[in-house]
Amino acid sequence: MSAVLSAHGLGKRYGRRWALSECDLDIPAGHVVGLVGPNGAGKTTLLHLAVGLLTPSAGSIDVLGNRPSDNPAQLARVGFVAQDTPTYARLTVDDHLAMGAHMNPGWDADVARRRIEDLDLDPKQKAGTLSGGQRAQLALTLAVAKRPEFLILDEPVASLDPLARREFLQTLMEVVVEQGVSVLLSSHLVADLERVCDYLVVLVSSRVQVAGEVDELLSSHHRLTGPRHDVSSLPSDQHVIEESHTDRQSTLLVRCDGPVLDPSWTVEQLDLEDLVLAYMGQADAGTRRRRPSRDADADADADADAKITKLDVSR
Amino acid sequence: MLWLSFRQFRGQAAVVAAALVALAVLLVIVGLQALDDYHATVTSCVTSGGCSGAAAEFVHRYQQMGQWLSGLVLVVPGLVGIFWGAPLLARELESGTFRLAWTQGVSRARWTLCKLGLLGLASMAVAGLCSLLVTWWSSPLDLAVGAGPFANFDTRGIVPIGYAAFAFSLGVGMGAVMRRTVAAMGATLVAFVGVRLAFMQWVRPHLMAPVVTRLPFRVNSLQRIQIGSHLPQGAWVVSQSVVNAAGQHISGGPGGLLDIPVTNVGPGGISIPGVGTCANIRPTTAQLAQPQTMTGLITRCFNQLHLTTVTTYQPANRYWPLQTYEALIFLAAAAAVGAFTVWWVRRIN
Amino acid sequence: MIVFGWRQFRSQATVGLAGLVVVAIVLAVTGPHLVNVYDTAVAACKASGGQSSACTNPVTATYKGVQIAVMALVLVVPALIGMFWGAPLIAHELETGTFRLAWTQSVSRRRWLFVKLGLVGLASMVVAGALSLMATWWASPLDKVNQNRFSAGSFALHGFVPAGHAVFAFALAATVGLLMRRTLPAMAVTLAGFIAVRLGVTYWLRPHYMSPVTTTLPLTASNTGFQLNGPMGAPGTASLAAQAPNLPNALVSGSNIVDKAGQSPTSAYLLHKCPEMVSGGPPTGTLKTSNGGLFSGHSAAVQAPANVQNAFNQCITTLSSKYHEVVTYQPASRFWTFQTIETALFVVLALALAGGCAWWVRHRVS
Repeated sequence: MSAVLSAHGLGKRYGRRWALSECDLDIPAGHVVGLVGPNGAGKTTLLHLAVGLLTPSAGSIDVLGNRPSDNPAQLARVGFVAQDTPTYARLTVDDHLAMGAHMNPGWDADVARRRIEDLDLDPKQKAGTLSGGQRAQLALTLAVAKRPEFLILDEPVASLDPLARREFLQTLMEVVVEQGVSVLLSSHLVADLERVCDYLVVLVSSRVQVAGEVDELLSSHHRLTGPRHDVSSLPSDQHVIEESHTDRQSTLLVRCDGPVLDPSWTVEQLDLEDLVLAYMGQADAGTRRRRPSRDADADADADADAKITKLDVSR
Repeated sequence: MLWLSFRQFRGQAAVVAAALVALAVLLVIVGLQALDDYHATVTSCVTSGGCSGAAAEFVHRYQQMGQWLSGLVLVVPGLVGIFWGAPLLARELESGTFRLAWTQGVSRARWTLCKLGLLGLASMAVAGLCSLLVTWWSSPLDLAVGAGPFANFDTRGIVPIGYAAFAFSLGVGMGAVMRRTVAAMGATLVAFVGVRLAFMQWVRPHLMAPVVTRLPFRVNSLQRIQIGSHLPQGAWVVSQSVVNAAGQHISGGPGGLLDIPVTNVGPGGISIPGVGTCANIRPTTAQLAQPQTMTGLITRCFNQLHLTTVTTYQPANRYWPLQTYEALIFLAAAAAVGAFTVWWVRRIN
Repeated sequence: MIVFGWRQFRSQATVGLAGLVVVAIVLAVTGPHLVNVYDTAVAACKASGGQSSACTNPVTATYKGVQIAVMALVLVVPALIGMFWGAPLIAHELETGTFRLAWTQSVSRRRWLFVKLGLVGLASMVVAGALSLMATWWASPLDKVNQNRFSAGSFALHGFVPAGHAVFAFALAATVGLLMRRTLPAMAVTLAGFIAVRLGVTYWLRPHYMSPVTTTLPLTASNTGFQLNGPMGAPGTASLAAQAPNLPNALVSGSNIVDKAGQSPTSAYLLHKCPEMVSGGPPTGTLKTSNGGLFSGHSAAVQAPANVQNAFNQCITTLSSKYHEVVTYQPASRFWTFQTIETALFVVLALALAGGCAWWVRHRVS
């Protein structure tokens, strides 16, 4: 399976501050990929790098096999909906469609018109007077009607109410089914992604904490509850993501490819939110600890396992 | 609330304050030198005659700078209106930050009034300081030029304060109504220039009833009319016209009063349409062929028809009353536009 | 892309066009009348040997208000175009985030930029150029009377050079907007920057577009002034001032009184050669004698006393054997050449700025 997006040692610096550093990531084609992470993780920077709005300060990124660049051929293959779904407030819906038609060789006027009709938007209305949901739908229409191979959306539903949010994601799913595009969708709300994504990337402080198909992730992560255990006594194929202990009891969140055989554990399935929160919390603690030595240890190429740390959540 | 307004305004205020200080330093240095110059040359020459040469030299030396400074005072109110007034509310309305401000437990009226008041006072202070500095700096120059106080009415004294208050208030109002910064800036510029020109043209001359003088109209050759003399020094001539003995206005031709075709010249006398007939001046056939002589005869005719020059003017001692009235009118207009803005903001949904 | 660029620019273009039409109507109504006044009043007056100032008065007085308004408009329109069309062009897209929408369509940023700059830049040139050419046509009777269209103040209000100023102001504003990424500060900086560039070009560059013509005139009392500086009764220094000769429509850059070696008379030399001027002249000031007035351009002109006149004439006669007046100027025939040079200069500057924008958009904006 080819990668729609692959990044190696990718970094972006603003002045002295790194918004994204040493990011390694491969996103396979044919998925709806959710990119989750806390605010400031570098999601927006990564997406802007992917569509060529930014150029990397370090490392490399390939999208659909090419460097993202300010090149019409490449731009035509990637659709983008930016954060807060910007539109020209003083231009009408029709003006926006005209813009799309004039600026994209692969523009599909039928798709655009049909979607505007379905959405019940008045073509003569100015974009500035649309509701947030309508504006997001308009921006999505523009991105979809250019017939991209890869659609990138940066927190498109962040400012929408739950109903508009659901409608938006529904439209997105229809597009995926109709056009078979790969989608990369960022959000800091797992619930949004759970509905639409079949692949998940958790990005915290520039680093990919975990990436994989949602089904696989869910089947390979378990919550283990049982009598107090020493973590080092676990089988080698079980990686602890999060642990908490009381005097008598241990609760672990582990990743393991095979089944959990130790009968003293009660094994529970995780939902996506638990999983994401666990990885975010883990990385948070990790960065906090690593921070003092960060400059000295510039090429700290720590993989996920090496960064697993203990969290004392017992009171 | 005041704190927020000040915080938002701090950057611009610092830029303008720095510019004002620089201007003040420059003007004080050059101005003191100019005053010295003036006392050393123009003032001290009064006793020995030949002052005009000294004055002319003085004017020549400082006129260019004086014109630049007058230009500055002229444009400062407009700039204040465009760059401080128009964006004040338009930017908040455009970017949506007004929603933040209007939910802070401060009423919209108070919010608007606070912004209007703080920046309005700053606008007036800036224009007032500019005008004060330039008025002081230019005082010897204006004396040396000798064109009277009304020659620079718009760029001296207290009227720039009124203009700045009005321009600012107008800008804020435009911004509130149009809700688009750049468009409001353009509209403010056009409206402010329009109001100022209209006021100059139609209102200022009638703020106080002008003094009317009637003087006999004299022509000393066909091309030279003597009007404007006998007026008190420094007066501002509002209008000047010539009437005939019957009290009718003489409009003249396209080239001015004396561009009237003298149609009926002959043994019956000289008749000038719309002016009158001189039956006693009867050019002979020989004289009709001599342009020089005819010029003299027609001049004589003009001068015996008892034409009167009617001049309306504002004497120099009305300079400060007129300044005060105009400044107050513009301040009142600023307050009215401000009140309208507050009312408008309260009913924005 | 061009169609879309036009849709974005539509409302501003409408305002510009409407303004142009209003001015055109005013000028079309008053223009023929002004020509008529010139043809009747001035021509007739000159034919009958009248004095020149009295002859031209009707022309300069008839539409003084319109003239001032039109000239002021031609002067400020380039700056206004820069501020109101140029500064928001890119800054507003950066401010509102719509550049992310535009730059992810299938059009390169450079093309996007050039279409925007090209479209609105051309419109700037058309509006400013049309306005200026209309004003030039309208004011032609006044120019025939005033004969000063080459002077620093009126050169930029004639011909097609305002088109160059406008496109430069526009490009400057767009560039500043791109760098500052905020519309309002960009407008203010544009205004200040444009005024600075215009002044610099007017006073420092324009006189040197072509090497000036030099002409030598004999020293006569009619083209010379004598100046004494110093406290009353004790003249410290004396100098001779050359009066600019009557060169209609020429751009005079200097007139100096020098000897064969190019040296100006020293103060000591003048005080030595013309002692009567010190004793009989005014305590300080400049004396110009030909028309009997002192700085007749100012309201303070007076007649010099007869003894001063005599002393002055004698003094100049003495000096004229050794000194002459050298005038450097750009002749009137170069007016349109200068218009072309200055327009080209500003267009090239604008293109350079546009190139800078293209580079910046590609490499620096992020």
